[in-house]
Amino acid sequence: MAAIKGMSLFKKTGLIAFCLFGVIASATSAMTAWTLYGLMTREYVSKGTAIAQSIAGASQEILLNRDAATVQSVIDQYLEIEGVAYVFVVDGDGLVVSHTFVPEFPPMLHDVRGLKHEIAVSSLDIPPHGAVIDICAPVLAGLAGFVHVGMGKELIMAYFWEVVLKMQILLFFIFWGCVGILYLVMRRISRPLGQLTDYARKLAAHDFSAAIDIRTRDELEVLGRAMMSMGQELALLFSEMENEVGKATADLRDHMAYLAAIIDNLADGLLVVDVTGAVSVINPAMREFFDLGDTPCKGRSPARLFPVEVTGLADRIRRCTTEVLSAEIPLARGRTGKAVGSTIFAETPGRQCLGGVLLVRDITREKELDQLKTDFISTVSHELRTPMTSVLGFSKIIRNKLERYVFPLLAGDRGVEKPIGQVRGNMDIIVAEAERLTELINDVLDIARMEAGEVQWRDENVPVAGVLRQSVEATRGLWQAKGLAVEIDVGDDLPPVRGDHDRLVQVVVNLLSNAVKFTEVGPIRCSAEREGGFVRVSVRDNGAGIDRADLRMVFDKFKQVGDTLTGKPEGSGLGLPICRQIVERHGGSIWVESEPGRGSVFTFTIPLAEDEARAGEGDAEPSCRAPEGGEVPDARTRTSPLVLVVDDDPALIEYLSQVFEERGYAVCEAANGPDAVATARSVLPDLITMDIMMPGMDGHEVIARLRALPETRAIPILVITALGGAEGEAGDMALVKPVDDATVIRAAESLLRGQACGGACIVLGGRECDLNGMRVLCSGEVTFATAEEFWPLVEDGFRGTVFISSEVVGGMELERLSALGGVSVVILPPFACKG
Amino acid sequence: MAKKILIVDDEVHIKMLLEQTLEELEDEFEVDLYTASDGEEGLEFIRSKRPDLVFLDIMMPKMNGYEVCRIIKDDASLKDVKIILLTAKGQEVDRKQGLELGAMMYMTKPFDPDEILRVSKELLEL
Repeated sequence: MAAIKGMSLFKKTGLIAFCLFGVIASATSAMTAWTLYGLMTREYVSKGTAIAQSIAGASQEILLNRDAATVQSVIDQYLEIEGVAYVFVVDGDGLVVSHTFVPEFPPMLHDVRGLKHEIAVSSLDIPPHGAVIDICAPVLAGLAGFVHVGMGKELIMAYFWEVVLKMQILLFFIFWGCVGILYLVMRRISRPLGQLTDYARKLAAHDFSAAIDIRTRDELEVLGRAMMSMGQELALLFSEMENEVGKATADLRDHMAYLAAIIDNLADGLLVVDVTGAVSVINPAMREFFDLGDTPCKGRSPARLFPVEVTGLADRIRRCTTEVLSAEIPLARGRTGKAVGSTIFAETPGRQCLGGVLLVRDITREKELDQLKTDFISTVSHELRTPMTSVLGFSKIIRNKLERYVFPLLAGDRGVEKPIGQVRGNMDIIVAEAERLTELINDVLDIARMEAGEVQWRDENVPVAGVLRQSVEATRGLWQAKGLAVEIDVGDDLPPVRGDHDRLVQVVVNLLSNAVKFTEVGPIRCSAEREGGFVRVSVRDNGAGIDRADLRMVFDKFKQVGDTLTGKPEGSGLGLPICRQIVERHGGSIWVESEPGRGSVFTFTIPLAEDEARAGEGDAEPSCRAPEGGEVPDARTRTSPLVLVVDDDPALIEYLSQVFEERGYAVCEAANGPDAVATARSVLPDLITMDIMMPGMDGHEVIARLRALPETRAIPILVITALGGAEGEAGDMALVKPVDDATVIRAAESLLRGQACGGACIVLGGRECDLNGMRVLCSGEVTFATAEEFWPLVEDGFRGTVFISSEVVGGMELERLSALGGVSVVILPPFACKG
Repeated sequence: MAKKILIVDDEVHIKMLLEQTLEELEDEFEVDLYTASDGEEGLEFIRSKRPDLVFLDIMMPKMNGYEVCRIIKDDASLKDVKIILLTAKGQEVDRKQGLELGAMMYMTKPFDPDEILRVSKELLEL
């Protein structure tokens, strides 16, 4: 039974066979019974007919004579015949002559009439005799009467049921016989199948020791053998794989131990934070730097373990920034550390951020050395000043005295003219060199003082035109000596800046003397113009230019770019670092653009005097409002994010402002580039939306300026541009107009928080795009498509966000795309997509 | 009456340099030049001879220039003595301190002899 239970194949076939058999059996018995019934009925009819005719033929006289007694005796004997239920005779008038009914003649038979010339057959139901076939034969064409013979149907039915019963019994036995045979056959098939199934299950459970024993000499046996050999192959592969995995695991363990040993023995402190900002790795050096002892750190927030400088860095590097951040941080026990942090990216499609790594080096000693160096430089320079005073002073006196008293006495003596010329020249050389040396000493002291914060600044409102003119005058000797011209280009209405006049002159003089130094022909152009809340001063030359690789270094101390071995360096190499110190101290920035062989442009910005900035700009005064209509609190105290909306279209400013205000953001507005820079600097917004096409300073330039300023560098910028190719590249994310409020808010939130939530999206330009920062725009269903695959998707009714790599944006029909309802376009910055 | 200039410096060469620089005034405007080699000597000279102009070094033995400056300014009778601090100490704090102590000017070494001459003429109203 158990075996049958297990044989579901048998059960299924059995059930089908049972049904089939039932139908066949029922149909066969019904057919047989029906045939038998018909046959027997016909036989009874013919039997009854024979009896009736026999009586009718034999008894004519008797009937005619109406000898009832004789008739009775004749008909009585027919009752003995099987199947005869009754016999009766009626005369020509229909009166019963005699009958075999005891005790009384059924009244219904009185009405049964026969036919005069032939035999009539009819079916009757005569209680209590039951169903009968009445056969009526005429005697002398009915003149002498009729003979009725009733053949009882009971016997037919009895035969009928007997046959059916016998047949069912036979079929029953045949059925069970078949079931038995079926079972045996099924068992023969299903046992090996069961074995195969068990074997497959064991293989699935990695039990390769099992075996199959099928000897059916058919396909099943072949299948069994094939499975066995497959199992053996698998076993072999598995063991090889296990070996490999074991080896790899051991290697990995060794490697991990090696790495752990390296990390633990690093002299530098190492801190790794995951994307949530929790500490995931910390090494002993780091613990020691911050006196953490055995404090459990893993999984905890850095804020609970480290000073705020470290926490701030850790927080910034765990966000997907490509920047390498560095800062000086205080360590325990009054030491100083230098921290360098960067984001860790997984080299998978999409460049997922895994967190950040922070390396801290104890630079207390270096700082001390640096201080020592500064002190040393200061002392030495100081000590050099006294002898320099004598050298320079006496040289000048000697030169004066020679010129005034000695040379006139010798004039006219032809023999001494040449020596006099030489003495004069030599004296000039001594004076010039002494001046150069003095300049170097002054520069060294200057920068040492600025770095130590020991310089006093005399801030006042300074007219820039005056600064430029004074500087050009101061360098007149230099540029005239080289036969160069200096052009000044300053507008009449240039407002004054706030700063230290002498120091600003120092900057321009420095830039001018550099320009003169590296220029052989052509004028040097010195220009100043207003740019938002700043004055921008440029010194442009057509000189040698600076190699791209050197551009970053020109503002470094003691760095003289170019080949200092072949090209004779001139100057201390401190001029530009001093300029940078001065400009940055004023709240401006300085940079250089250059092309080798075509000259350089040094540019710096200095903020306008406050009253000028306000008076001159009118609406450049930050136009801000809090969502509830009050004033916007400053960056440290505000609770709701502040968005700076930059666009030259007042309607769009109004729209975006309303969108942000409805979501509880505070909003500042700027209608042009300079205002945007000035407002961003003064209010330090949490997010900036930037139009690209603006008159005057375009969005690219604004972004470049904001990125160049330390305080605005990290503010996320959402570019909202009308159309175009690589317009979005400069910002952190770009939306193509027209934009809808939900997309803007989602993009803003993703930039503000960098966290995930929801909309379907398509990424164009390959799988290698990083959507991490923009996940907020997707509901998780990300489709990667090529440009060819894209339009069919849209035509199929795609609605959501389309991310386009800035590399492929040129090939897209952006206009058509932007016109679609329900589709938002985000242009990914170039770094977000590989290749 | 001839104007008097006092040079106070412990460095012989600087003293000489200043002397030679100012010699011109001596010849042209009959200005008298005097020198002192340290603060004390200088102070003593100022008290006794009351020079019109003093070129005063700061770092000197016995008494430094600041002290000399302070003492002179505290002495009402010496209020007309004009002091130029002429020093290698070029730091802003030093300059500030010197000017607060009452010096007329603060000049740093190395100096330009012509500039010294110009300033002297101006202060002595020559």
